[in-house]
Amino acid sequence: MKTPRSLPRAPRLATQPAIVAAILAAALLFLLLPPVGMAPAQEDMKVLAPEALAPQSRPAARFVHDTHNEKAKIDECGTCHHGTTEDGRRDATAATSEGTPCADCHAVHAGGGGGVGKVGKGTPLERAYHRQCMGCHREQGKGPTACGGCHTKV
Amino acid sequence: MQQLYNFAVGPLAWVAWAVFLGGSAWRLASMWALARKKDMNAVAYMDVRFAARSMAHWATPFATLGWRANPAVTVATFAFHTALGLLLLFAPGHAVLWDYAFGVNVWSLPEGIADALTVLVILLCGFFAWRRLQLPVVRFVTRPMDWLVLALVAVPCITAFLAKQQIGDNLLLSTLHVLSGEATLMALPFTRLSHAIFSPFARAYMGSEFGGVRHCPDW
Repeated sequence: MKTPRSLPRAPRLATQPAIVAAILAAALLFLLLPPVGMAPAQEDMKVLAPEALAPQSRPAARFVHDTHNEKAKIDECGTCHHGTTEDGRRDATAATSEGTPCADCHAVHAGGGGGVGKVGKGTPLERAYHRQCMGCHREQGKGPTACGGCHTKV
Repeated sequence: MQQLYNFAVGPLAWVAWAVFLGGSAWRLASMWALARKKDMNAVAYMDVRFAARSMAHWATPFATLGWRANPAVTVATFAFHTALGLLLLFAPGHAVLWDYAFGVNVWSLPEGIADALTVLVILLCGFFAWRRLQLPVVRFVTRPMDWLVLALVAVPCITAFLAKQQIGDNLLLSTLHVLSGEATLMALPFTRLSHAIFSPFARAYMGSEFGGVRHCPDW
């Protein structure tokens, strides 16, 4: 059984939202402050911006090859430039693929042949990039996985 | 923070969906049991045709007397729910997560449209907050729960906008976006947000009564 609501409640409630709004506004101001010491050196800036995915809807993913691999302690090219089995599946024991642009094998859209701008049966290009980068970052527990971590405005 | 983000988009997402789906099923089942126990007459008079008529009628802006009574609220309500629904299902960032996690290619809104809809939802949250603060009739029926559910919609949208525009600490805002979105999903069956799952039944009930009992139009 609910007890009937008493009438004098309404005026008191009117002040509560104002306090809540003030706290939210203060929290928002805090969030808007940029984090310190994270500005990348402009001259080193390199990005992953395959033509096949043009026009890009988000800023190109920031990726400085040598700096990244030094930091991530990646010595084997095949860690990223992976080889494939004959039917196109990822294979760590196959010959690596460095020098071959990702878009040469990974089609933009899934479901057919391969190659730039064509439709392929393998992992589509955007998904391949996301799984390659975010997948490893999650597995290692290091490196960005949120959209703005890589797709930063320059 | 990075670990928290990974946890939020990983294991916590499964928890949030489980609570949302399980909670919704439980709420619907227990409400159905209660209706059968306390209001079997209404259950007996439920009519699919009148239910569908009422849903279509009330899904059309300005078709009913209720929607005509307050045009500003009608426009705001339809714009708010349409924009929110489109963003939930088709925001580009959401599509990337479906694609990444399950290999499902979901159609997504163009970035500019998604940005505009996000701003629209935030502005409309402001409009609803203004009504609750300024209009005596609305203020009188406003309870703390109403502020909670408004915040549960506003916070994910504000953090999404700031993270997308890369204003402020991106990782913090992205994390808050995912966490607040999951809070909303989990709260949906148990707060006034449950109108999302109950409104079709409310319309079916009203429509059936007007059509099958009173034999009159569904005003």
